[in-house]
Amino acid sequence: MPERIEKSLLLPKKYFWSGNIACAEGALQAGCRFYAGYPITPSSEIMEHMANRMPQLGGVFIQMEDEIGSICACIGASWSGVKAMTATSGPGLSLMLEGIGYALMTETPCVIVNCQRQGPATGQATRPGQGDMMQARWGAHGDYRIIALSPWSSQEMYDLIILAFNLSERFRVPVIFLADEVIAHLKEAVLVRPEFVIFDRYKDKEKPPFGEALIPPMPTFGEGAALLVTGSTHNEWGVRKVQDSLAHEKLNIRLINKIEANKKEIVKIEQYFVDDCEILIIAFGITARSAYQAVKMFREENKKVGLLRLVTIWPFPEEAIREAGDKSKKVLVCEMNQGQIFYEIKRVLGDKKEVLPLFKTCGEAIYPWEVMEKVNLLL
Amino acid sequence: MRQEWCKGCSLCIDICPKGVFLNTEEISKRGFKVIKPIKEEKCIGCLLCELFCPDLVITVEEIKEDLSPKNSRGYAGKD
Amino acid sequence: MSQSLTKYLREEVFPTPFCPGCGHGILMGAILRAIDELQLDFQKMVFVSGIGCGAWIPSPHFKADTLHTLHGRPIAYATGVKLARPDLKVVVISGDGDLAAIGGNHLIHAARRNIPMTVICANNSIYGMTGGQVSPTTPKGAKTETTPFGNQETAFDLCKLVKACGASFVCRYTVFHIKPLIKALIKGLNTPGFAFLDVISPCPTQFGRRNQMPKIYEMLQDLKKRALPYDKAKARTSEELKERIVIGEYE
Repeated sequence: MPERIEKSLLLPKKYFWSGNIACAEGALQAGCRFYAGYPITPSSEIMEHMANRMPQLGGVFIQMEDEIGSICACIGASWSGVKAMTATSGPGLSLMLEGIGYALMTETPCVIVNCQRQGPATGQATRPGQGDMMQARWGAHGDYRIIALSPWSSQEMYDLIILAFNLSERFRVPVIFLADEVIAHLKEAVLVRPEFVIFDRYKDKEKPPFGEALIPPMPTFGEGAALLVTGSTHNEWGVRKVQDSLAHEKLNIRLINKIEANKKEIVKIEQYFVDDCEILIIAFGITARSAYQAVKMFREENKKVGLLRLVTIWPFPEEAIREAGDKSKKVLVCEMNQGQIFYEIKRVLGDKKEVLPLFKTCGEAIYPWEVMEKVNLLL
Repeated sequence: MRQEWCKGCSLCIDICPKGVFLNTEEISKRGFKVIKPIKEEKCIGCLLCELFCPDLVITVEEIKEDLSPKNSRGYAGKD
Repeated sequence: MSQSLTKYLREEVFPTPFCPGCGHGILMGAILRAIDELQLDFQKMVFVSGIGCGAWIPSPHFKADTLHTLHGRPIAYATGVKLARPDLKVVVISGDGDLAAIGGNHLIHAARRNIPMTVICANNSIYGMTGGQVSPTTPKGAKTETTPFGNQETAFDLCKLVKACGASFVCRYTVFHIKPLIKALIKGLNTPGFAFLDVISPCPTQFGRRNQMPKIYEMLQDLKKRALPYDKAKARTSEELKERIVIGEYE
């Protein structure tokens, strides 16, 4: 796989950035040179930062007329050989779903940042939420597998967006970056390292760009490849095959296997005090920060509480959850919604383990003492 | 004429000022009754058939040599 | 002059899926003839299309880079392509419903931005592929699947619309007026900014049959009858222009 070492764009040191700024800078470091977006709270700072930085780096910035135009322009740019990204929130992501489906079907690398807020609809535009987890998995119509990541700090907004681009290029799949309003606006120290590992898509004009290999090569427009990119069902060369049952099944299953077969490589989790825990907390994003604080405080009192943090949300870290779940007596799932990842965890752990929820959807983060309160009831 | 591409829409028949094209009973692989330039010798090279055929079936070629007695104008539909 | 268009075609996908007598087939030929006339580097062109019969003109028939996108969105995709690769020549070929109904927003903004691209609207005043529903360019009174009692809405004048947005080159021709159409396509392809061509390309199957013109030749004769050059149309009232199709470049 074509990977290279890139020197950092900025002077390697600590910066004091909000999550949104860190995200934008990380994307630029990953090689993103095309940004098309639409203003929406709480993601607009990413776009504004890109408006300033893209011209400096010889990239392209455009504020499109709507979110649909944004995702479409990104896909067009990606096929023109440029790494592309857009950032939005729940309502914008809802609009982009058809486009995301198109990127999935045509195997177009691109990154979509969702700074989640309280929904549905306009909801609480300026307040955090984690209610778009299932939308990231199933929002687009049809059957597919997608990659979604969940950062929990400004540092991760920087580091994980680079991972998002690398995964996107490597597996030719759109990657949804599930941040939330708190992480987007929280200002923290971000360490910029001197070097980064960057993946670029694999190119080969001679091989079919939509089949044969599990992850086919991806030529670029203007190289004489006479590319046939289409959202309709197609064969390995991109020729439309809408009446061909075999062709459709083959394509659909390969798109699923592309991610399924590489799950081990894609899935990322972090564990804190899990090995000897009695109560296992599972959380992600800003909620995991509170849960981590709670776990540290419990451990000071010698209470056996641990935290499994999901960094990759999709594909779902089933194995890690089972392993960690086995070690504990009870599992507490904390999320800022009314139960999305909770039911997935219940599905994975089955009846073997008691899985309990801590839901919150009032537009405030789950606080460490709220986690502690709930855990104390279980201990 | 790329006969395999003809769908028998008969626009060439309607548009040709000289009546070069005629319907036939011949059926193409796709199931269409093809049209052929039966009266090639009447062609005046106006190119309307080539420009209007929706299926890019027809290319009109100028025949300089081998002027048959019937084809005094020097044009013929290419087969 | 007679032109062999073979080098532009992906022959293995022919004959085309278009109906016998489809206006879009005529338009496809005209587009390739204009490109051939200009001797453009076909491999440095990107053809972007949406969903519909018109969008099937370039994809998969042209042996070049084609991007067959979502319904209504080719212009948004094309914006991404052109900005990322200004060296490539971007041509959008799509239908009236695709570009002016669901895609209307992208159309007006790209025209406003004057993004260098050539947009060819294969306008058959109907939603052909889905079985003949009304479109924003269907004339008042016409019968379609969703206007069985006659269309009660007024149609867009797409040229007026796009010109008002700030496009560099805007014109309308019909596939009957094949020679001026080819000339206009050449001019459009050579325009440094946003070029828009409203090409009336009739659909005998969905529109013609429902409106007393089941044959393509009849529809072409109707276009010939109703066409009125822009210069003459300028002097007429909107009442006089009701049944007419204004052809030529809009200023």
